[in-house]
Amino acid sequence: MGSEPRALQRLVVVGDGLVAAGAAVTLARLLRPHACQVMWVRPETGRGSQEGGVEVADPALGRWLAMMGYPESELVRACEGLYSLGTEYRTGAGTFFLPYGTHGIRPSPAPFEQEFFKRFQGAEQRAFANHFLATQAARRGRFDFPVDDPRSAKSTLRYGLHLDRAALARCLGEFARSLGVECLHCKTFEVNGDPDSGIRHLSVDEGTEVAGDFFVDATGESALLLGEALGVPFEQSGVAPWRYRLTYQEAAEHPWQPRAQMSREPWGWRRRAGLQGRRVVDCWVRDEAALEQLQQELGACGEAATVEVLGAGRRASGWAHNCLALGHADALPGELALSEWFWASRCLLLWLELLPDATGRPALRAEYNRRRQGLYEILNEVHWMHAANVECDEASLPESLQWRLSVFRTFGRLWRRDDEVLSDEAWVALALGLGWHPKGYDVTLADIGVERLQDKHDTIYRTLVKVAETMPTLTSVLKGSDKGLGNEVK
Amino acid sequence: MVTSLEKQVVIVGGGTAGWMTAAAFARLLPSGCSITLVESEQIGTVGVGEATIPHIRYFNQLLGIDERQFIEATQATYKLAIEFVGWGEASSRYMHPFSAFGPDMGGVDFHHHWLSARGALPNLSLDSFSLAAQLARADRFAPPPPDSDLGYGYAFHLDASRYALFLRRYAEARHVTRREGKVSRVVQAPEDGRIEAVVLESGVRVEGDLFIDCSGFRSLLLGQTLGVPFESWKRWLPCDRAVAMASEPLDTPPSYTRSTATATGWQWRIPLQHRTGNGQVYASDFLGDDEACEQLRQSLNSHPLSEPNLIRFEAGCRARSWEKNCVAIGLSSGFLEPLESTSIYLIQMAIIKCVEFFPAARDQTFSREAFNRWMGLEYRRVRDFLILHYHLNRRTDSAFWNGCASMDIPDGLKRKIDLFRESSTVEHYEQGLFAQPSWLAVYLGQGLSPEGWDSRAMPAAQTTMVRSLEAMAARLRELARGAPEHREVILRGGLKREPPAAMNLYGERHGQ
Ligand SMILES: Cc1cc2nc3c(=O)[nH]c(=O)nc-3n(C[C@H](O)[C@H](O)[C@H](O)COP(=O)(O)OP(=O)(O)OC[C@H]3O[C@@H](n4cnc5c(N)ncnc54)[C@H](O)[C@@H]3O)c2cc1C
Repeated sequence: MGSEPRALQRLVVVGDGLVAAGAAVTLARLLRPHACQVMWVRPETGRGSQEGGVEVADPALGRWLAMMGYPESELVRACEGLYSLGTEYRTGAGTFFLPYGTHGIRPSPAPFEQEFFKRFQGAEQRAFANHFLATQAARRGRFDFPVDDPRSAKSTLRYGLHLDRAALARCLGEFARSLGVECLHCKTFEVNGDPDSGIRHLSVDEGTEVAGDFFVDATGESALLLGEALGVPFEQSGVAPWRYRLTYQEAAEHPWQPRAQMSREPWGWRRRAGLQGRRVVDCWVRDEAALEQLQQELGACGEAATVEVLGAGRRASGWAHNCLALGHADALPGELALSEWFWASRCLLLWLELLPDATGRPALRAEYNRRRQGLYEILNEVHWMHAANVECDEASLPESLQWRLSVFRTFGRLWRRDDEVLSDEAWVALALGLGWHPKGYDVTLADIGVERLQDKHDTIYRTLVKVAETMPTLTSVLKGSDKGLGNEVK
Repeated sequence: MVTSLEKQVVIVGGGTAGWMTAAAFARLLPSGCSITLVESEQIGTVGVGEATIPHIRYFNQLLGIDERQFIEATQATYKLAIEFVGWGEASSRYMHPFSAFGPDMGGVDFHHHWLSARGALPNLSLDSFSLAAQLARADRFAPPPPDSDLGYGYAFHLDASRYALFLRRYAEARHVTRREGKVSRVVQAPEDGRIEAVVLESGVRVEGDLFIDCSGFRSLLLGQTLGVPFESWKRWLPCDRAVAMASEPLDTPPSYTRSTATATGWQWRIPLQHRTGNGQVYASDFLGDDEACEQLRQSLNSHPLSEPNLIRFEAGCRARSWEKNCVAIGLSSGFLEPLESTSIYLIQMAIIKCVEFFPAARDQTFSREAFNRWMGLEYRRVRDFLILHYHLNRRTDSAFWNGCASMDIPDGLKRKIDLFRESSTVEHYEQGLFAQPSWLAVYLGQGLSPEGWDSRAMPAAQTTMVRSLEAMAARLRELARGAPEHREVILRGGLKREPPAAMNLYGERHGQ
């Protein structure tokens, strides 16, 4: 029989951005009840890098907030937030909507998407995504919260959030303090530790010693703990589809719209995500020439833009000894569709699911690193899907993605993996939208007439439109309801 | 596209695999497909295969088969678990139920709490926290309650020959053509080796576009004709013989299968309505056939009804189950001993994947590749889980068991065991059979004592935790006692209303 585990008693989070703040909140909320103290060292380096940015969060953020006990409506208010039902894509081949939530249609006998593969060939299969309430509502600027009743179409809704990233980091920082996280601001710090034995302590501002039995490295790409002190190497990806991210601001859209927008441009992808008082535009730009082209296109408006050079790759492991790296300190799987916080929070929740004690637990660490590697690959695949046939040909995509896409194109089937980050429905909608069109369909549909399917789809479509039209506008939800009372719009 | 789905499908073999395939294809494939099944009474079937896992209910529901009719036709009884006797130490006994154990508490898996508190609960085992296991222990059966924390799956013990016959009627009523006769020759296309036809001893030639090899251990098409090699796993699963024998039905048929370890392998006992299926699985290096028959005879709980049926086998599978235009389903594609009743599941999975990746074009490259990847994974998942039983044994009574405990095991399995031993953590995967509850049942049931567990389960107030676990176990015991006797439910012809089935072992909990 084993001996009692030695629980971690003092965790030290290091970093000053959203990832550090979110980690401090999560650890305090979930581990303080187990007599674990959380200390947060906030070095000045890298501060302010989040100013002006937007966090485009999928519904996982709402679930996380609920788990943390942070009132979402307050956050929306404080972060100029908007609710989102998904992303509207504009590609060379037309537009499509990538909804959050589900269509809610049971297989009969085949999964719903298969009916569209049977009905249509090629791009018309995108009609699938029109059969989500989220799509119809977003197109009309409408929004509502999901309901619990499975008979209601609104039970299929899920929503994400657009939040001012710097404000979000501030709110979470304050929340962390309210949860008893001890905060230490500093100008400089040194890490005392080595690759053989892990981290012993931090020396902060050349004086104070901060000891802990576990350290979370949220210091961004420099990875001062995991990379610098423990020497875990960064394995750079040979290629990256976009080398720069350029960010600028635009006036707010009126009325507010419950969606982000992605558009294919000659130089890469442009994402517009609304906040209450402005819109943040992020551009993923292929290379230097493309960057110049974009800057010219933007003219004066581009002068205030910030440009960031994008890396790609990952550390050989995300957890070594008594140190877990999160977000950019860990890896750069690509953020075109899913943000750094998304990546960091998935890793942190995985670490908490496994939770080591103070004895080290090498096998547990290996399990974490195994699953984190899988997660990285899945996120990376979603990023690369957006590059296919423009920034790269299909043969240059990650092999696992090539395989999934071939299975999808041949049979209309998903090749699922562990720890998926997109729902099946979202993956199908995205793949269809980005240009992969299945040639085959579920054979159980072979004997079913196209007219019958069309009738069924028309009925569903009409119902969804009707429901969407009775939903409130996003503006009225934000101004009217106490759940989402917004700021005054100038 | 649709026209290319109009295929001539030829199934060779009319055992469980052949008729399950024929019935499912008749239901799922387009009406333009013609389905012919060739079987030979002269050869017969393997004649065993009686215990199943809950996925079979999904299969039956997919085909629209009424559960009560099925129970009557196959003389089935319900199955909630497998009891393993003597697999840890010679006196050990544990259940592997079709359910999880206990609810998560405070975001931490139940078993960590259990491990932390078990020193104070000497009379409670992990089984005490599974309603399915409690029902099985009490020879009772009830449909799973709606409370998902208590949920479970259920399966059947069935007469495999009757099941095949039942499905034959189903299939023939749906335009499957049956041809009696022994295949004496297989005709391959000269240009690419694809199978064009099978020729029966009578000279009749049966042509097809897609051939399903359900010819059993012979692997007539895939192995013998197309030469796909067999990958042996005997080094990990040393048993290579089985002897099966029916005996009279038990007065009180249990709602579980029993697997009892012997000095050189193990014995099964499977209760059906009209008889009890018994068998002994053993390694021929350690036990002679006559001795095996005698041991089995000695261990019977009821009067024998048949002579022993001796079966030779080797654990392993074909390197590829789909080659050219031929898909092997059932024993022709591989065999893993029936310790966890997985063969019918593997047949079912192969059928489903064959339909999912059904070749619409003449080029079957992707169908083959997708199917082979999938089935390869399924076989390896089951293989490792079976090896676990042997490797974790703590018996000291024979060279057979000592050898199993000290053998080299596949790396992935070693990693899983090391992880559990260190941290009580079950390695996570979502594809393929067996999730956390099954691994826990075997790890803990066979006495693998982890060195540590989740520190959040260190009870601040240990007495409160102990009391709450005691109350939980008492509640499950009470619920089980209040449930109908399994025998009664069977006498009434089964449940009045069958709950919906899922492709899941544990009744919607914990993935696969
Ligand atoms: C000892 C033992 C115990 C088992 N217990 C279980 C269990 O509890 N649960 C479980 O799920 N599975 C169990 N199995 C596995 C299960 O029995 C098989 O998976 C199942 O019966 C399917 O067999 P099959 O149809 O592939 O082969 P078979 O039953 O052998 O059928 C082969 C068919 O091919 C035909 N055939 C062969 N050659 C020719 C030819 N030349 N011409 C025409 N026809 C031909 C035969 O006539 C026959 O119809 C067990 C297996 C063994 C060996």
